Order: sequence, then C-alpha cells, then structure tokens
Amino acid sequence: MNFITTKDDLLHSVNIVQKAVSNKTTLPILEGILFKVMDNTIYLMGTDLEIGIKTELPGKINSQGSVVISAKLISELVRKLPDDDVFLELNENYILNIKCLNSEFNIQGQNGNEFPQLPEVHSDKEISINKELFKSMIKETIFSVAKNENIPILTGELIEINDGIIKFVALDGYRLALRQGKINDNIELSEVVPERTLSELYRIASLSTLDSVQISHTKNQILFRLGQTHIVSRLLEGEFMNYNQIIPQNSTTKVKVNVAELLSSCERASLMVRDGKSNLIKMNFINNILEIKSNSEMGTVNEQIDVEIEGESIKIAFNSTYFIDVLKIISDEEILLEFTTSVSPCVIKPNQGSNYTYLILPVRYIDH
Amino acid sequence: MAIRVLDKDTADKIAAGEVITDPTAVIKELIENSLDAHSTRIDIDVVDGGKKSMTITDNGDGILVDEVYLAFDRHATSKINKLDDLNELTSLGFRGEALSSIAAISKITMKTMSRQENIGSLVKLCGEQRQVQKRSFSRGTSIRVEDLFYNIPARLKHMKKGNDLSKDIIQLVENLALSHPNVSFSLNVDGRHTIRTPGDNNLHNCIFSIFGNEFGNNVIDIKYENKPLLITGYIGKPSYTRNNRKHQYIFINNRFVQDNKIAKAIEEAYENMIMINQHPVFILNISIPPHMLDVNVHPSKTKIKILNESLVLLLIKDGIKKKVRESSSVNISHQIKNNTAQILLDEYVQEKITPITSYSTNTIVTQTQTQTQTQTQTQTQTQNPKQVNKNVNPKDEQIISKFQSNLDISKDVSKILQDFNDTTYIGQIFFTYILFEGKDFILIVDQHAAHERILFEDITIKVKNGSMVTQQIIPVNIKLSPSEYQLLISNQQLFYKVGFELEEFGDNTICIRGVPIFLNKTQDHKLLIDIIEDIDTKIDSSNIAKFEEMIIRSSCKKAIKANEKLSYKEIDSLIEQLTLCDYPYTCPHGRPTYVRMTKNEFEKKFKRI
Ligand SMILES: Nc1ncnc2c1ncn2[C@@H]1O[C@H](COP(=O)(O)OP(=O)(O)O)[C@@H](O)[C@H]1O
Ligand SMILES: [Mg+2]
Repeated sequence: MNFITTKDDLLHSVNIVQKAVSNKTTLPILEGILFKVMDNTIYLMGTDLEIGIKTELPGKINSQGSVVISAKLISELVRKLPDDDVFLELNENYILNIKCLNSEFNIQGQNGNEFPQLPEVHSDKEISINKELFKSMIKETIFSVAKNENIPILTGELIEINDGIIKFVALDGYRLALRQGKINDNIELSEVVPERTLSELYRIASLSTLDSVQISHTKNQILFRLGQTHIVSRLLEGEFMNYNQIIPQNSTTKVKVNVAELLSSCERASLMVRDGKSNLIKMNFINNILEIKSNSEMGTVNEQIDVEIEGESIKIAFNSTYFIDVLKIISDEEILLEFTTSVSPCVIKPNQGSNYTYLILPVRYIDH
Repeated sequence: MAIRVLDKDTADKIAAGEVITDPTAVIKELIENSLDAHSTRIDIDVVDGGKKSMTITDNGDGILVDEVYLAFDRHATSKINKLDDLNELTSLGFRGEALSSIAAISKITMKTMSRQENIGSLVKLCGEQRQVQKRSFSRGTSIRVEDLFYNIPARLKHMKKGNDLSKDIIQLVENLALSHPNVSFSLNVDGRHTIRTPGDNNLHNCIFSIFGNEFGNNVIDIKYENKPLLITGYIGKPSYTRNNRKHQYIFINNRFVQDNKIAKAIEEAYENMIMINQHPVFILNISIPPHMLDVNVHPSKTKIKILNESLVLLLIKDGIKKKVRESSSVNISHQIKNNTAQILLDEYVQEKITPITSYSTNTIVTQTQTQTQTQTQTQTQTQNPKQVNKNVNPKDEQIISKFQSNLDISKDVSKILQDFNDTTYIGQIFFTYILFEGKDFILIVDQHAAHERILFEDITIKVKNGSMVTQQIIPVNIKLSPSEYQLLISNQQLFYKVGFELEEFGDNTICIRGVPIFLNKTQDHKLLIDIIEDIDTKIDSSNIAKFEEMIIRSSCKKAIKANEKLSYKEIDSLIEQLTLCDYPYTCPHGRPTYVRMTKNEFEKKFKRI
C-alpha cells in the first residue's frame, strides 16, 4: 500500500471515522482505523460493531494494500504534521511509514484483513433528506432519549416515514419529543436508531459541506450516506412505545407564552435549587398570568409572566430541568402549552403549524 | 437478723408455690442463698445435669451452729420478718422455703461455718433422718444435693436428659455471674470447667470470660442515670447483632428478670440502626428503688412488676437510644496494639471502631442543665409541703415530675458539627472514602453510608408529612410473580406514601404511573422492582410502621446503588447535609458514616511513640 494525500484531507477523514472507534472494546483491533487501498480508492474505516463509518480519502495511489493503525496514535500524529503532502507507505510486518516534509514516522500496524467488514446495506430505496432539516430533527429530540437501559428500546429514537412526512420521536418515561418534517420520497419506514448513532451523525453532518443525507435500510441495519461517507448502524429491536396514545388530545387549558420569557423565568426559579434539594418549579396559570414559584432552603422565587390563557386556570409542578431542556431548543418566539389536569402531561406545540410536539409529565406534590 | 419462724399470716401472704421443679431451681436457690450470705466466691459442681449431684460451695457468712436446725424449717428466713420488709428488700431470697423444700425431696449434706464461731456444723439430711455434728471447716457453706426427687417417682420420670439440664444450668449460672461481677463463679459440669469469672467487680472482664473476645470487643460500656433510674452495663454496637435474642440479659437490681417489655424497649432504641430480623445484644442492670417494684408476683422470682411501668420503659428506651447514638459517633480507640504496624488502613478502620470516651462540651452543658433543672424541680416540690405530705404515695408523684422534666431536654446535641469544624478536605480514596484533616486527627467518611443516612432521613420525614414528591411517568406495565403482586397491591397505600403511584392491571401485572424523587434525583420504575426483590414477600406486613421503615430502608439502599458515583462537587453538600441529619453517625443499617483517627494513633503505627 502506497499513496500520497494532504494533511488536511487525512485529518478530516481520520476525524470522521474515529467517531465509530470504541475505546472500551475487548477486541484490540477495533481500537484501530483501517486504511485500505482498493479499486483505485483510498478508504478509511472504523467500527465498534454497533456503528461503522467508512469514508473515502482523496489522494494519488501508487499501490494497493491494507493495514490497521491505532486510531489514537494516528489522529495525534496527523494533527501535528505540517500542512503539506503526506506520503504513506506500508512496509513489511505491517509497519506504516509516514513522511511529510522533514518528518518521518514508522508505526506498527496490524493485518488489515483481520478488520471486520462493514455490513452491506443494499436497498433499492434510498431516501434523501435535507441535511439542515436532518440535523435539527436530531438536535430537537435527542435530549429526550432515555439515559438508562431499563427499557432498551427507549435508548434510541424512532424514525418514522409515512406519506412524505418524516418523524423523529424520543421519549424517556418523563417526557417525549417529536419533531417532523417533509421529504419528497414516498416510502414507508419505522425503525429505532441508537442514540449514539444519531449524535455521531449530527457531528459528521456538521463537518460535511454537502446539503443532503441519504438513508437506506435493511432488516437490522441502517445506512446514512453523506457523499462518500457511509455510516452504518445496528437498529434497535423491539416495539417502540405507541407515542400517539400518550399525547393527550383534548386539553382544557391552552396557554400562549413567549419562549424567551418563560425560559429565563424557569432558569431564575431553578437557580435557587441547589444540589440535593428539590428542583421543583410550581406553575400557577390564572387570569392571563403565569406565576412560577420555587422554594428551597435558600429562599423563594416568584416570577410572573403575562400569558394568554384560554380555558380553565391550573396549578401544576414540574421538574425544572425537563422544562428548561425543551425551551432551550425551541427556535420559535411563541409556543402553546396545553394542560388537562395537574397530574397529566403538559403538551408543548408551536403556535402555528405542527413541526414539533413536546410532552412533559408533571410532578405530584402536596402544597403545605 | 436472726432466723425465726414467720407468723402464719405473713407466711400465707407470701405467694408460695412449688419452688423446686428441677435441678436448675435447686441451683438457683442455693446460689442465691450464697449471694445473700455475702460470698465472693461460689463454686458449683454438677454431675449428670444435677440429677446425680450438685454441690454449691461458697465463702460467705455461714450459718451459726445454733441456727442450723432452723435453716431447714419451712418459712425460716433471716431476711425478712414482716410483709412490709418486702418493700425494702435487697436480698434475693425471702420466703424461707427453699432449703426446706429441697430437703424434702433430696439427700443433703451441708458443711457450714460462720465467721463468728470457731466451730461449724456438718448436717446430713435424708427424709426424716437428720444428723448434725460439730466440725471445723473453712469459713462458708457447702451444700451437696444428691438424688433429687428420689422420693417422688413421678417427677423423677419426667426429668429432662442430663445434657439438656446441664445446658439450662450453664445458662442460669451465666445469668447469675453476669449480674454479680463482684463474685467469682466457677461451674464444673461433669468434671469439666465451663464458666469461670474473675469476680473483680468488672463487668467487662466478666463478659470476656463468659462470651469470649469477639463479643467482649463489640460491646460498649454504658451508664445512664435519670434519677431514680440507673442503667449500667454493656450494649452491643449496632454493627454487632444476632439473629436471636439469646444474648439479651436484663437484671433489675442485679436480679435476672425475663421482661419482654424492657427488652423490646431496648431493641426499639436501636431502631433504624440495625437490620430487620437482627437483634442487639446487651447485658444491663437496671437499678430502681425497691419500693417501685413488686417482685412477689411469681415464685421463681424472674418476673417483676414495675410501678409506673410505661414511664420507666420510655426512660429506658430514651436513655439507651442516647447512648447507642453517642457510641456510634465514632471515635477510634486510644488503645492500639503495638504490633499492628502492618495492618492496612481499611482493615484498621473496620476493626478499631470503638465508642467515644469523652463527651463533647455541648453534652456536658446539657447535662449540667439537666441537673439544675432537676434541682429546681425538687425545690419547687419541697416548697409545696401540702402536696408532699398529704399524698398517699408522695414518692411516686415526685418521681413522675422529675422524669418529665428530664425528658424535655433529652434531645441530641450535635457532635458531628464539632468533628467537622475546622477540618479541611483532603481527597477521596478508593472512590468510597472521603478524608478530612483536623488539627490532630483525620475523619474518614464512607460516602455511601453517609448518603444513605441523608436519604433515609429525608424520605422518612417526607413520608411522615405525606410530602413525598412524585414524578409522573409514562405508564409502565410490569408482570410480577403472584406473591410480589400481592405484596404490592395490599400495600399500595404504603408505596404511595414512599412516592410510587401504582395501579392494578390484572393478571399479576402492575402499572407504574409515578416514581419518587429522592433528593433531586428522579428515580425510575426499576427501583420499585429492586425494592420488591429486596423485601421478603413472606414477611409479615401487618406491622405497618415496621414495614414502612423497611420499604424506606430498601429504597435508600437501592437508590444509592443506582447513583453510585458522587462527584467532588457533591461532597461538600454531602457533608453539609450529613451534619443536618438527626442521627448522622451511622447508615440506616448501622454501619458508621465516618470514623475518626488521631495523629497519636498514626504515630503509634509508625512506632514514633
Ligand atoms: N449459703 C448460705 N450461707 C449462709 N446462710 C444460709 C445459706 N443458705 C441458707 N442460709 C440461711 O438459711 C435460711 C433459709 O434459707 P432459705 O430456705 O433459702 O430461705 P430464704 O433464702 O428465703 O431466707 C436463710 O435465711 C439463711 O439465713
Ligand atoms: Mg433462699
């Protein structure tokens, strides 16, 4: 194996595939990145067997071959190279020689044939989605994915496509986040993708200059393609929760509120909340005023915001974190809050349209 | 007092009954006689569980030559002569019927010599036959009882096996030895030494000699006085428990009593510091003025009636609780073995936890206050002579008011604040212990134990107030085993109080709709499952309070497990919260939350001193 590339291209590719490399694996070879030259292409690949990333590296090929090089080592090394052409040559016993201007290194690698292959995802149907939409769909839902493994299926997000509408759904038992968008392809899909895959995808998509992401899938793998970069991930098995059933349809109180005002009030109220104390915020919606209260040993906060209330007045309490998490990622100026009782979920919707639906379960407390 | 026959009226009034039912009864009576005779050494020798023979030899007062005959008469006693004397009774025997009863059903040989005479008596009794000879012996009395029940075949037939009787006798002598550390007991069973106590009036030595080192090292010395009540003895550390109550000894005025109420009161003092189904050990003598007791309720004299019982029980519980708590506000002993230099720190920490020997200044202040209050109380009483004079039982009245005034200020004063005052945080070791350095000591905090304690108190208070906060969750259905399901359904109210909202779903399936928030951490439904797994489904859940506590304890244990890592940032707040705890010194299961080691102890380890 012998090829020439530039430091920038090499660094970029290493950064992309490195996201799939696991640092707590029992298979030592998985701590490495596969360099492979075949069919006039230079590939880089990393995998932890759950997720695999393959990308192409532009360059001038002199000869074929493959080697696995420690991901940690190569990324450190490439970062320190001068900005110039880099010459890579595989010698006997898997020793990779790297030259760049006056620098020259020899790195001990491993046999490239021992590196696991990426699963093939052959599907006749490929969906194309706008990259910016794709990114915001991830960003605006991923925080609601379950952090623990109690219900394994909830450690991923449901991607659902139906009638030209794509939906991302995440829920963790205390809240639900649903974001939807339009696509042009007319196919159906309903799969659960691990949280980690989505967060790596978000980062890779941010690095990319392309403006669309292609998705295809087989029975238990899903492939995301951004130009020459392929991200293959395992899908989570099992039935996702029937989220439609959870979202209350008939609210008795509808409140229009300014997001920025609500967010800063919630943040001020939870400032009082210190380690180990309750992070409860109590909301009282009455006479077009929202009163937010929190008390802790450090004192009591009372915040008041003007809102538009339609329906009955209501008193309800929340874990402030859950509320703040949602408010932070909403880009709209105004939203609608919908309530039924003080122990049933609060639904957050855009004032106009139906791009997103958030649901937060309240906290039951006794007011003394 | 000389021996004389009680008048018939008095004799009848004293509850009689069959005193001698088996060899243990004989030994008990004889040892009690020896104790009443001011002996400092009592040797007991039994053969075949006492069926063949039992010999009790003492070095006490002995019996005068002239009175030897009388000693074996029914109702002959030197200890009381009218019923009123019972009120001020300090001796163990008083009915004057033991020797006569024993003599009626066995063959007796007695050698006795009083210190007041130069000649003693050798008495041989067998049925109607009596032989008395004047002989000289060493001072004291030796009574040998042979062929018990030889003349009552019915009794003889129903006697327990020799081995079982020996066990009973050993237990009896243990009891008597523990209640009389000033007397050296020695028990030989079939020629084998079983008990030998030093009789140096040091109860701890007595305990060591009977129960061995491990036991002896795990009990702490207590003395609790709330006049006129005085409790002394040893109580087990909360970490040293047994799964039965065999090692609970209660003596009232040095008399062994079987009093479940007192034992219960003492166990309650350990509440939430020891594990369910575990029992503390204790050897306690409770001194109560004789006029507050009625010992004359059962012929074997192991049952005692206490006047004002519920108040006394309250005081006992309160007193023991205070001591247990003080004792676990851990300090490491000053006595270090010199050859322990290689012991690892953690081993050391585990081993060397012993009670504080000095009181904090705060405690002393409180005690002085207590005294002043009591004095004021007494003064007020004396200033009101009417009440004192006219009342039928003025003593009791006084006692009650004194008790009450003392109770009010029995609240704990925080020792932990003093411990942590002026200490600096050093670091964390083994991801488990947090070190603080003080002027000439270090504190080692077990962060798990500390966290559990904080959580426990937080939850307990919230459950009591009904102010537990529940996070509603997207309902989760869980299929359980029938017994687990039953447990949950029949205690739904209790689980609700702890913060779980449950709903029956039928078919052994439970629907979880809400989970508790403990100290700002939202739990998840998995916690409920962990708790039911933790709780034995066969357990009796009818004792609501106990069951509730069990659920709370289990919740803490499981919740901590789920949040194992504590960040450095949390440590500060952890200690702050710990100091605010009502009882910060142990976790709810009785392990210490922190221990203290002095610089001195380090220096000893490094052989600097
Ligand atoms: N070991 C002993 N040493 C000295 N005196 C004894 C001893 N045993 C019995 N006596 C005398 O014999 C009396 C009768 O004993 P007992 O029948 O047990 O009646 P009680 O102990 O109730 O007085 C005692 O009151 C005591 O004076
Ligand atoms: Mg007697």
